[in-house]
Amino acid sequence: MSKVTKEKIQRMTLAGQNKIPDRVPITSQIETFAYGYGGTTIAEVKKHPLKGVAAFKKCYEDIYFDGFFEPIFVHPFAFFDGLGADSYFASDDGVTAQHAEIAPMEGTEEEYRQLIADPTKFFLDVINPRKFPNLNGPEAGQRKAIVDALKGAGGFMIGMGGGNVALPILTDTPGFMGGFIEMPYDNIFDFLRGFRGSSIDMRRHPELLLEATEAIYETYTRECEKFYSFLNVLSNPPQMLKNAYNIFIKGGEPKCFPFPWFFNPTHAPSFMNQQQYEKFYWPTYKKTLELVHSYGAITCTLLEGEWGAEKLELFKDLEPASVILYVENDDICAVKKQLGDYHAFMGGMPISLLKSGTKKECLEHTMHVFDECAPGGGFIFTTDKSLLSTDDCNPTNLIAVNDFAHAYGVY
Amino acid sequence: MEKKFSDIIADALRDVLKKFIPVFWVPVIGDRLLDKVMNSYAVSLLWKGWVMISLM
Repeated sequence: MSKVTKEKIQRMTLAGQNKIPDRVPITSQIETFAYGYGGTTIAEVKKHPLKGVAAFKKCYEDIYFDGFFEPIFVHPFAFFDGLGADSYFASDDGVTAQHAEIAPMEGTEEEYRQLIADPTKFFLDVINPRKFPNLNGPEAGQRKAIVDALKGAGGFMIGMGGGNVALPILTDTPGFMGGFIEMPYDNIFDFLRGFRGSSIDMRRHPELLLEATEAIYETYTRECEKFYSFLNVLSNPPQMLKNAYNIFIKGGEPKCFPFPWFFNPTHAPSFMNQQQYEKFYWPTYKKTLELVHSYGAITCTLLEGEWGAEKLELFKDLEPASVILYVENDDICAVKKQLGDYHAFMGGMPISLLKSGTKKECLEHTMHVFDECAPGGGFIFTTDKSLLSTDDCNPTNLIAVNDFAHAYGVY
Repeated sequence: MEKKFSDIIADALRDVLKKFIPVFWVPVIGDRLLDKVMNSYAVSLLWKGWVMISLM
């Protein structure tokens, strides 16, 4: 590992712990933007995952970053193709990733009771066949679909694992994602009942919805985070082996490091009122964040949409410096004032300004955000949203902003 | 009776293990050992891993 890479890791580690590093770290939030910028498409990357890694490499060479979010797009498209689902698809430009809302759960009392009694069996026997056309019909066809899906997942994992190892060497930029979390309530909101269904269920079956959220946490979140924790120790093979022995043979918990961070995009909270948030979302959200922190790791939680100060106030209940609050539409300077003594926070650069603003406007905004947010440490600079296509921002502005931020953000 | 998907995916894993790991070829003992593996914590984690990705 190069000296520059070590410095960047140290910078992000300290900032994530709400301490003062040598400079404000700058992280990437470029998703399929990278494919457009690097001259490839989603269809090409499905067939040749390394083309995706090459596209991300070009971004990390051309644009200054202390840490990258991903070495290849985070969703395994080819896995879903094998099962015949169109959960993820490309827009007409061939680059922008889209996510269809699929709500395969009917939300009856009986279905909730099945989910609560045995989530794994419910997901495998009820939800999988409803969601995936290729898991219906004769057994031979279903077995073929399983093999096709696993081949797709295998190619994706080679791209993900290989990119996470290769890109820090090739570009002197380390990855910062050391795990992934989908919160229990968001599993229901995103993948089972959808926006409309979960809104109805909060009123029609509130207790069953709560029980289902708890069941998903207990039998699914708690267990699956053990898988994801391997991303945290990817650069430390001895620890990886120890964790594998501890998890798979002894049934224990992993030991992780404060960096790289687990990443969690939250989806439902900005559509909930305070009472709903506290009742349905926060209890398992809090438990999950505490679970990851009990491994020794920190979660970077993306606060999608606008949360408001009242919901954010609950983060004071967590152990200090156990999360990084990635701010999307809330005022990041206000978040700094409210929670800067408790947790690190991330964000600051609106992609709307990068797209439509002049270079001067972008640099002035950057200076203002740094002046407000950098003092005291715990600040990580990035775009407020993921970049999904080359139309999402003017790349010249992004390059200029990150170069300026790197020079201006010295402590 | 029609097989459920959880049975199909379990049988598929069982067949793969039996095909590639010689210890499972031993009559009686091999089958018992395979039963133990299929009921192990590690395999239950595998199902959860499948579910985790397939839910997305």
